[in-house]
Amino acid sequence: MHAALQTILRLYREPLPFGVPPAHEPAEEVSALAGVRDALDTRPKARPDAFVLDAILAAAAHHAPVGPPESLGQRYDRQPVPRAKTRLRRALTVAAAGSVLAAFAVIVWLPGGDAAPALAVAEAPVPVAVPMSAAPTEITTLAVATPPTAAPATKPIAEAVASTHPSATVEPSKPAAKDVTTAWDVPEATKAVQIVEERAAALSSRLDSTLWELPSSSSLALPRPTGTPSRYTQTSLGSND
Amino acid sequence: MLALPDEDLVQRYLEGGDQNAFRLLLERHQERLFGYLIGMVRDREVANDLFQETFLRVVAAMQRERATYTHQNRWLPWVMRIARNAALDHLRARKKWQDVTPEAGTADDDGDGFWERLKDGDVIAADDLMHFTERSAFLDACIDRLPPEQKEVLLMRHEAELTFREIAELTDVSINTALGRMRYALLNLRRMMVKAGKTELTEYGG
Repeated sequence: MHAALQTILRLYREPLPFGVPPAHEPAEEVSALAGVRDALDTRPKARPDAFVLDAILAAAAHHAPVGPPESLGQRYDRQPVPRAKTRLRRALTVAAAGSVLAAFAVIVWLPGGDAAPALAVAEAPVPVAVPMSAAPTEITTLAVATPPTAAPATKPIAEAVASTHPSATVEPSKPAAKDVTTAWDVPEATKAVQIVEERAAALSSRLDSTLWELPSSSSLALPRPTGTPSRYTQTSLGSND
Repeated sequence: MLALPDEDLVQRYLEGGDQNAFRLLLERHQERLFGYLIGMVRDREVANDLFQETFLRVVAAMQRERATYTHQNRWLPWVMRIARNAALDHLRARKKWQDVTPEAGTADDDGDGFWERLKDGDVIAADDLMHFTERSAFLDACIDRLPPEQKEVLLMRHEAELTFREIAELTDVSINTALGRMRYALLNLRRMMVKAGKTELTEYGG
């Protein structure tokens, strides 16, 4: 290394590279350069404005790392989601859950008027013509399948059964709540179950597609399922019409 | 915590999001970085912008590279590289803007100071220097007249307080080249002082 370069290193009190022998330094140049160096060191230090520091610290707090560092794979797997879309999804989820609960509640309670259909049905007279083995097990499902024009649940179901099945024996004075499901014709009950299941599946798939495929500009309204009975339209789902 | 080295503070911020650690880092090095930036661009507002831009990049990069971050031991040189890139980008953009502006450098151009409008040459009239009552302003003006590579090395050494080895790595030159540029920078400054009749500035140490 040249002697002049060693002068600079020595001037700034930095060590010589390993293995480089110290060279003779001209005293005049050292003195002159030291004067300039000292003059430069006396200059006042400048600082950035306070608002700049505040903005940086705010950004550092906003992006502060929390939790263990994620791996490279996790980082590349992560897809940024716009905040607006996240809020929309959350709102849609809440709205959809509320709609499902409301629809379920209406389905269960509405046909019976002021009483629970299950309880009303439980008080109904018992027909004896239908074998127990063929009866559906879910009484609320049967209630769902009840057409809106049917008699209220407080009216003895046995009467309706008797009108469609004249061979059935009706004994109004004999309460037997455990055998009430036998008042239903098996094909009708099966059909009712299928209808409910199909509608539940359709609603579920519609909710899924609404939640994850809707653009961010979409409204929160859920479209009414096609072919939905009027009873559905009276619920919260129908309020979007 | 004040006595903790940069490495520990960086680690604290990376692992636990320690805001105080980051604040200490920022306060510890703000003068170095800002001094370098303001020396490069000679404009306080622009230096503020570049300083903020630099640290926003730093924060984003530290967050993005948490698992693979490897600059704990050399945090300041890493930040200096980001600051240097920001400053060079700005200077390039400004030069491009000036190149396409026919009136640049004329009397209407209020953005440049007296020294920017001087013709090439080392001779600085003593009368003109009367505008600069403060010694630091004179020194700043002299530094700004240095060739860019000499000016950059001088700012990195005096403002950012980087070692010559770090400067060499940062500017992608050998350490001998960095030392040579520094030597010429000091010699040129002394020559300007002598010709401007400001030799008392250099009598402080010699």
